[in-house]
Amino acid sequence: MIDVDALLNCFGVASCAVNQLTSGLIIGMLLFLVASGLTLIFGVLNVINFAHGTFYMLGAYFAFSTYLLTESYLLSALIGALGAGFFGILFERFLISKVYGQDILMQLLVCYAFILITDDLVKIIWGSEYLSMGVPDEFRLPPFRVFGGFVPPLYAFLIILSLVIGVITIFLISKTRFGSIVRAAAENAKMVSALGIRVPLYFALLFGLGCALAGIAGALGAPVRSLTPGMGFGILIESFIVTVIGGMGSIPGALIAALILGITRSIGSVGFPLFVDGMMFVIMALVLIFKPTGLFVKGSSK
Amino acid sequence: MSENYYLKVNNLNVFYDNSQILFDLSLSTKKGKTLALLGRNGAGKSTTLKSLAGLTPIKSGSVLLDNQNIENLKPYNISRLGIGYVPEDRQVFKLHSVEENLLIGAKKNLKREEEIHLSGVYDFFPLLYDLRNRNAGLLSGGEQQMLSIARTLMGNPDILLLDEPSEGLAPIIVQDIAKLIKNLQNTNVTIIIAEQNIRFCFAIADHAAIIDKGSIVFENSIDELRKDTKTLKKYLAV
Repeated sequence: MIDVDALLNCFGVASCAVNQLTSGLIIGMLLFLVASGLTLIFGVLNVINFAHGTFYMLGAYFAFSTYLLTESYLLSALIGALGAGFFGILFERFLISKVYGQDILMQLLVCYAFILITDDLVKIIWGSEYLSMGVPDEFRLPPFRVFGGFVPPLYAFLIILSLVIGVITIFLISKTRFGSIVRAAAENAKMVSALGIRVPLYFALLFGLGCALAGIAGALGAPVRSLTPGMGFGILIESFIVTVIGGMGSIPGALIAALILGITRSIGSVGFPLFVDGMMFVIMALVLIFKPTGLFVKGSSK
Repeated sequence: MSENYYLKVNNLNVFYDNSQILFDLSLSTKKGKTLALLGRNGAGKSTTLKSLAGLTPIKSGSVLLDNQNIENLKPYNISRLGIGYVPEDRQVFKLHSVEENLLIGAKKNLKREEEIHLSGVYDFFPLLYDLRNRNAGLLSGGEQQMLSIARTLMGNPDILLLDEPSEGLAPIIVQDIAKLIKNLQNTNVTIIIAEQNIRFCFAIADHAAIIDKGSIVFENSIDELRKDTKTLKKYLAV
């Protein structure tokens, strides 16, 4: 099942190793952006946003259309993020906030309905065939040479920008007044509102932020992936695996777990192409057995 | 003309699910005075304060703050109108530092020009300044109580609702809290304090109201209550 020869051959050649690592980092960093939104929403609102992949899809399609109109990749990414964030706020205010505190099945049901309706709307607006944005003009540049391998500038940009967005998000949550209030509201929403703070507004903004993170991942990834209605489903499952491995609510945990999965995926495509998805679940199962709260969340070690 | 009450509560009826907790409860207090709300466990003291803060829905009745109806407002609106609520069992944000706790409480009182600043609260609570970087969850019960009061004061309230501030604290700490409340009284803030500790209330309150089974059964000055051994014995088992 595991093709050891292929693995050794690849890692014996610098260019192959560099290519695989780069593609692993891209998969991992985009996954990190999506999962950090998911884990943020769960950590503060205690809601599992099953519709999270839908905002990833919306971000990608918004970016696609913006790029067709403006041919600016950066503007496309911005519109993808803002659009997903905006719809995230609407979704929170008018749908998911109505089932806060209720059975998780109610949340699942609301999210699933939203996924189905949005997927169909995307089909109606953009069609059901695969769309491709292609490498944006800004990044049609000669690749960097790294240790004998080639790294396209777009890939380097994606990896660095994702990391920067992750750092900004962590800063926003841990160091600003907004972050301080949402963390306090996660602990005791009634007390925060008794102190004169409009808690539902902060919850909606936080939900929007989480969805914007998914949206920007979809938008940034649009040039390297193909767009299709229902594309949110796969990334949702992988984001769940990331949050389980990294620990629910932990953004640094999401980063490490997403990188583990990204590298596993890219190395797996060489060494065990038939068992790539299986391997991700094996890693998740191992974490659940030995540290059920995830790698980065303290918990009783039962 | 009726007397000039700052906070007036008329015929309040409050339910938790299907069980009624407050029955036509009425009380009132004047500006700058301290009212002690006394009564046994489960009599309805906490529910009364929560209803005033907007945290428990009011089924019927009215709450007038400076002749303005506030009974249907959300907690954050009530807070912004100048009613500060300090909950039972402190409810500090345990994973936040002392200073972060205080800053969450910081806001403008819509009716007042001046603001309370962090430095002003630290002058009032030097102990909290020394502990400002410590996580609130690591503080002692007395320190958490002070933080909880200070956090609410950051919102510059005109009325302070204190729910059992002496509960579970050592007598020496209770004395500190009493001193603190006396200092607050000098700033002309109106206080309603729910308590079981009658001696504590004798030391700080101007008036007393006794609540029993969800209704007010006694309302008079604290000196009248001190003399009224029959009432003390009947409702407070002293």
